[in-house]
Amino acid sequence: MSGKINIVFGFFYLAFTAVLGPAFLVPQFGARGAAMAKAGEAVTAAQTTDASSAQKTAVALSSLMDALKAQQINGKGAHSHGNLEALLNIVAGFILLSLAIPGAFKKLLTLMFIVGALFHSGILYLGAVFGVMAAFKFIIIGEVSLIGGLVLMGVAVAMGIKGKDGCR
Amino acid sequence: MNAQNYRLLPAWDPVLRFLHWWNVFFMSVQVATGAAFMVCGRGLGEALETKLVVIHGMAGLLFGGGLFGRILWLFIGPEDAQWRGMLPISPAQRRELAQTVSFYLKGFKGVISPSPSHNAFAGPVYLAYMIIASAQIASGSALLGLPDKLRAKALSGEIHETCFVLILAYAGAHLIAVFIHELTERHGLVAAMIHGKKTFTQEQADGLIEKHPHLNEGGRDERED
Repeated sequence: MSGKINIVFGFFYLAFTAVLGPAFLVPQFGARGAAMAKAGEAVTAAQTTDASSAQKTAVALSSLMDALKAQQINGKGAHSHGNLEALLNIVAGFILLSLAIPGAFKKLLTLMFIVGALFHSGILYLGAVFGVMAAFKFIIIGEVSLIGGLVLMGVAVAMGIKGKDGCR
Repeated sequence: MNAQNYRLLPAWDPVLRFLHWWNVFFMSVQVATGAAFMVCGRGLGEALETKLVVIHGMAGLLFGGGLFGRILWLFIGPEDAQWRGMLPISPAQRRELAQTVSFYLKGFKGVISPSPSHNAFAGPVYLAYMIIASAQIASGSALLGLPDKLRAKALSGEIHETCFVLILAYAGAHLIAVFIHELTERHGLVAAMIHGKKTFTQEQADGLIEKHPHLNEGGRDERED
């Protein structure tokens, strides 16, 4: 049952994080291109005018700042980490289904991977898409949960995959 | 001279044992690197300090992973690893706690009831340690995200240093307690944290099995195929 929960969670979570690409990230490419073009024009105008034209220099600087801001695409982390952690849950779930380890240990791993995904990429998602910046204070829970889950998964595999005799 | 029969009884499950040694290792790395920052300060040189900060941060996250696993294990692990087994909530646990405290106050003299895993006093101490260590991870994580100049002035810096001292005191007290209990009770504690079984005399083992029947037959088998 423990592994199944991870697989089910993983597929639904993947749907939510994958949709960030076309719905949230792709539209930002257009805005970034427009900001870069505007900055380019403003800089060219500042370069071809008198050295004393402070107003044009200020416009060029402001456009460059806007272009730099546009480079910082929000949601990229949530998309990439979220997809990866969803797939991690799916893979870990399949492995958990096949391991001969105590049930409580399976529950622990299931919980660690789900908490890890929700508190890591889930918080990136909340911050980037919905602007809930306060959530970033709790991101450490996701980080340590994922790291602990990965380490303990190694232990579980060492304990739970049967030897040659067990496969016969 | 009568020959004394001894018996090995299951004390700690493999997950708990692994997490214990994992946390010991990474806590030691953090203590070593943290002590270097505290003692040498800016004398380390920028290049070495940067490298040590990276090692300290990585060890902190790996320790945090083990600690988080242990905290979750308090709720879903076997009986002896659970929070119920660590806090003095039942009359029997409170009786054992009073007996253990009295044993300490009398200078480790008198009789102490054998316990299948940790003793009644150690449980609450471990829980307190887990809270302090969690605060250490949280404050360390906050510090890692700050620029160098702000680290010295940040509140998280003060919390980190205070918890560092408390953790060092805990580690020292833990080692001394293990040494003293090993000397007075001889249950093979250190070996038990490796292979999972504590040593008892036949009489002690019979008494424990009567209270905890799952200890017989080598403990519970909870394997799922």
